[in-house]
Amino acid sequence: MDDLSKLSDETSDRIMTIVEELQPVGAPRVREELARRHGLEVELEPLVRYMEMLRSGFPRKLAHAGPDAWGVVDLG
Amino acid sequence: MGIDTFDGKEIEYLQEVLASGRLSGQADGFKGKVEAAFAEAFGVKHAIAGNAAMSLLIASVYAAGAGAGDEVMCDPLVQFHAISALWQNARPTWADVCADTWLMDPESARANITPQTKAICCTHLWGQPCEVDALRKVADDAGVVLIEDCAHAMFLPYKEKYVGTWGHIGVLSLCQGKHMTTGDGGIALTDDDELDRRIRSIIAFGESPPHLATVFRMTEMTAAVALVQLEKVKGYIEEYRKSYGVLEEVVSGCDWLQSRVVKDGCGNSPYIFSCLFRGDEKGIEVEDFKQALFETGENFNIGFTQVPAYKYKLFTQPMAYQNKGCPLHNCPYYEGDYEYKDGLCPTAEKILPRLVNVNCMIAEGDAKRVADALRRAIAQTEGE
Repeated sequence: MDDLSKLSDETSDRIMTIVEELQPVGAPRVREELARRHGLEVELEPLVRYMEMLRSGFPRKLAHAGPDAWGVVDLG
Repeated sequence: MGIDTFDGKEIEYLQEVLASGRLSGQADGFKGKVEAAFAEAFGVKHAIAGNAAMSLLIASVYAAGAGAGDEVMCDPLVQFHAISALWQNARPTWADVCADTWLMDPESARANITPQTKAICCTHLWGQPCEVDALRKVADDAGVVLIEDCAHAMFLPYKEKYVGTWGHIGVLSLCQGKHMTTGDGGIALTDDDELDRRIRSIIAFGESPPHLATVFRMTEMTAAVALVQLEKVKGYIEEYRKSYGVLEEVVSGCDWLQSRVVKDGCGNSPYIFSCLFRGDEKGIEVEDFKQALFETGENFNIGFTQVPAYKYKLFTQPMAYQNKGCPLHNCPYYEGDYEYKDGLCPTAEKILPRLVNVNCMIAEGDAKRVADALRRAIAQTEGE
């Protein structure tokens, strides 16, 4: 399993790109896409926690898009 | 997730509903019972059960008389009221928040009243009360309706009574993650017979509605669960108050995190624990603190929505109604001159990116774990 215990620009960008392309999208699909596109094998719970922290970004950030769904907001 | 449990009479009541075959909200069923129970618990004349707090906010804006060409004054830290205004083709305007509580500033509300204003919507954000007596005076002086959004504020005391009963209308939320939940659901409170009638007139209708109505009523299943949870929710909130205290103790010991002020006469029904990052004044980088918070493994958030709601594209671009521009960009009924621009609410713009939030609807033992995590993050950031 790959480690999501630290924030990194590369991982953050990958997640943001996947969500932006597929929004509204659930975290399980993001997990599948990380594995398919980048070979990143991650568990769902740390991924969701990582995605929660990406809500703190600016000007592009993740945002909740309903129960269990995510989107990207560009506040620029 | 909260500490709420569903192991009481919920199943018994749900079986009773299913056995009755009457699942839609009934005045003489659980919907009627839960409305009576909320009215009694809050000491108001009317409680109206709906399928969501948002539905009841939309109905409340209608009940306030707001429509095309009118303004509804909103809280810039959240978007719910502004969206409710759009549903009635009204134009959201904004009052700033106080720098120490992050709640609607009554003086800013007064300054933003115009001849077009029909309602003021305040939020008791994250479980702390607005100065709702002062806001009620602003509303009464202007002859407009004060709608209290109490989605984060179940049984929240302000001076001698609960919030939700100071304004003309108070709206409680029962959605997932609130102090008490039925999955989705909401309760509107009012002492005003006419507002009660107007809200009810658009949340359910028969074969010939007198105006644009829909179905926002609460089902019997939802009401059955709500009736039981209402008996438990004060116990949940007591636990959350202990949890809040545990977290507050950490922040009060850090000279670059600013605690949220709880003023005299104000109670607390904790929902999200929030403090303000001021590390930049001491040479501490917010990104270092963000990384440290993340590495604790707890779900902290910095910056909330980052910008006030009036900067959302929903309001800055003509996208609300199929990109036709209504009601914000070319409404022929609007005679005001309110402009959307940067700096409308300077305090909200300043504090939003600095908010450090974490859920505090947790058991006290879990709060101690989160508090330890916050201490570690502070120490790590200061050591870098």
